[in-house]
Amino acid sequence: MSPAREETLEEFRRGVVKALENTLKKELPNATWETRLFDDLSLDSTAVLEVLMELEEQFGIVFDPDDLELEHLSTVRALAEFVRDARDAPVDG
Amino acid sequence: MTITRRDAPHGARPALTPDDIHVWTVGLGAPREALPGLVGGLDETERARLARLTSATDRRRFTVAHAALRGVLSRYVPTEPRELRFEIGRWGRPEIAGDHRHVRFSLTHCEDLALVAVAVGRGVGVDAERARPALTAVAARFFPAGDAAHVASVAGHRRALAGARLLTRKEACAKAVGERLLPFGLALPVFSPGDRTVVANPVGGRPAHWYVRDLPAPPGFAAAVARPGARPPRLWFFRWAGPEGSPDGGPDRIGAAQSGQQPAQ
Repeated sequence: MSPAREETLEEFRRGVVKALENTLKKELPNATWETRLFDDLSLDSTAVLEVLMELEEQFGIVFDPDDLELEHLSTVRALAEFVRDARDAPVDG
Repeated sequence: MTITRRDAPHGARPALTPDDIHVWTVGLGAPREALPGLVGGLDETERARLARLTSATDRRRFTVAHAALRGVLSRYVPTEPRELRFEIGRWGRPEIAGDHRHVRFSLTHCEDLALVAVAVGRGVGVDAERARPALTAVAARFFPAGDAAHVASVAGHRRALAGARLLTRKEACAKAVGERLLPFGLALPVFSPGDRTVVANPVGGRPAHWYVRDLPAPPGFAAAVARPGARPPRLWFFRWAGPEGSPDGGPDRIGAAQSGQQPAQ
């Protein structure tokens, strides 16, 4: 990944961690790119919905739930990439 | 099939027919000194998952929930709890490996409440949720129009509980067929007046229907159980008190609910 693109992804990583902290109502100072949402943080599927809504608000995007695959929720990095790709996707119409 | 008590290796074994669903309530509080023994009864996969959890509370809840799951399932199959092996079945959900995969189960835990649903011959799903205020926004954003309108119509603090109730129905239906809440379960229209309903698959395919039933839950929680098919199951409720928790080592049956009857509270 190019440095510029990695730098952009950092913005989304911070957004993902903030959304996780707000949903789980606790600080996550040790969260890394590879922190697993379900296995490490015990995020459940309902909490995932809250995280997605917060990310929609943060980044001004609207997810299509049908586009979301389980692997997009595997790690902080995977979700940051999913959010970035959703924001970069062309808007229909 | 009927599983008889006679084969039970661990105290009483409740009879379970294809018409039944057994729902076990498990409290996840446990003294710290009890945890190492419970961890010792978990398998490598469970211990690896446990090791990744960063919160001591999450580790305690995971440990007790999975130890109880093993204890509950050992009532239905002639296997010691620590000898039970699991594998991912073709529907993407954990199954009992080996000769006893006809015994189906579902586990949910939410804060210090866990539920284990057990059935034979067909899938079963159970879910519990805390009624959090955020669920009203989740319902408005993600639920089908009819479900969202119902939640929005409920006044005051009960709105979050209405959202949680529908969410547990969706998750239970999804788990019963090895699917996930997002996006599959969310799209299911599950609202009905009353505490039970037949949910129709909105996109066709199989299953055509689920039978879903709200479960008794502590104040502030909602819970539901579901199985494929439109026929109402008989629900039986048990409380897990540990392998030695009741005088005869058997389940403490707190009530039973058949179609048309209220479940025991």
